[in-house]
Amino acid sequence: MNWSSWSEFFAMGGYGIYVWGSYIVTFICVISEILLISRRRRTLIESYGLIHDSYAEEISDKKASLNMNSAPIADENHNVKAGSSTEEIKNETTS
Amino acid sequence: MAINWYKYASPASFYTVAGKMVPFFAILAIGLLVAGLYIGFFVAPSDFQQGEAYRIIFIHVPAAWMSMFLYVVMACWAGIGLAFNTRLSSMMATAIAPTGAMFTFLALWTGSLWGKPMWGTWWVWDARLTSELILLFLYIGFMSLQAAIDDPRRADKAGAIIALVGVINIPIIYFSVQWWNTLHQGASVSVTQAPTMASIMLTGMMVMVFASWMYSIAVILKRVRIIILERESHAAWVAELRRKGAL
Repeated sequence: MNWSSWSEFFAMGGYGIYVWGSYIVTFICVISEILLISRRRRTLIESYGLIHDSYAEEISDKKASLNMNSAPIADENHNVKAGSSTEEIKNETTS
Repeated sequence: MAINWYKYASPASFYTVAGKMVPFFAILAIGLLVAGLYIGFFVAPSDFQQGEAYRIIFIHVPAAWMSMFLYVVMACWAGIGLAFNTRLSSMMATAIAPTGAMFTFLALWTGSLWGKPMWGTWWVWDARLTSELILLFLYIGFMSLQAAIDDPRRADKAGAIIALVGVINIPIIYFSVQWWNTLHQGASVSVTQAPTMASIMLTGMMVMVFASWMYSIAVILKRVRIIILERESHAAWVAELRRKGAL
């Protein structure tokens, strides 16, 4: 074991600021990249929620008008992921 | 048994395959990172010349290697996309650039923090440091150019030209420590000679290198999936996946 105490570990033999300055900035960069990617994906999926929900509604409307609406198109996942956007569209179409 | 590789050149099938690969590489990256940090801080002894400051090596060298390696991979994909007009190749190049730029920045940042206590200066305009800085500008140039062009296919082509021209910088970075006088030390690890480091330090460094690889693969696959979705938003397969809740 290299370190006899935590303070010795943080001091890094007097080079603490350089060593931890490197590690902390690396950590921040990596975490930010992961968060930015997740946010980009979430934003994208949300915007698609609108596009494809309206698409799905369009199809179900057609099926209903043709009397062949056997199964609802929206399944559980679908509702959970884009609940708000579906609501918005429904409100728009009903009003 | 022949695998039909062309199948995976289609964004639609690659999207699903990549999605399955991301968690695998992410878990490997976390495991290797924990092991690498443990070796780096608790197993490897202090250096007889540099004391504890040398522990920066466990991120500096992986970051510097990844910055160069990712650039070459990016230029290859961009070149393939330009030559064969394959959409997925160009999307891969676009997905690699931000991660490559991040590693380039980290190589410069950690190098600077290492240079201050060892050389007495944060920065010096010598061949190794300057060429690595140019690499960062090449990544930024690639990303800005692509962001400035609305049509994705034209952006791919323009970016590919920058990426391919910039490849000349990679051997310059690599050999700069031999070609010019520089403060930067020579290669610690090379193909032709035995490594000049203690083996436990080398082990820790290599584990961190593999962790960076796995991290890069996971992040780049995750990003390329987003790029595929952005570009193929009107394709039927996207609607189909969306309906199944498998997006």
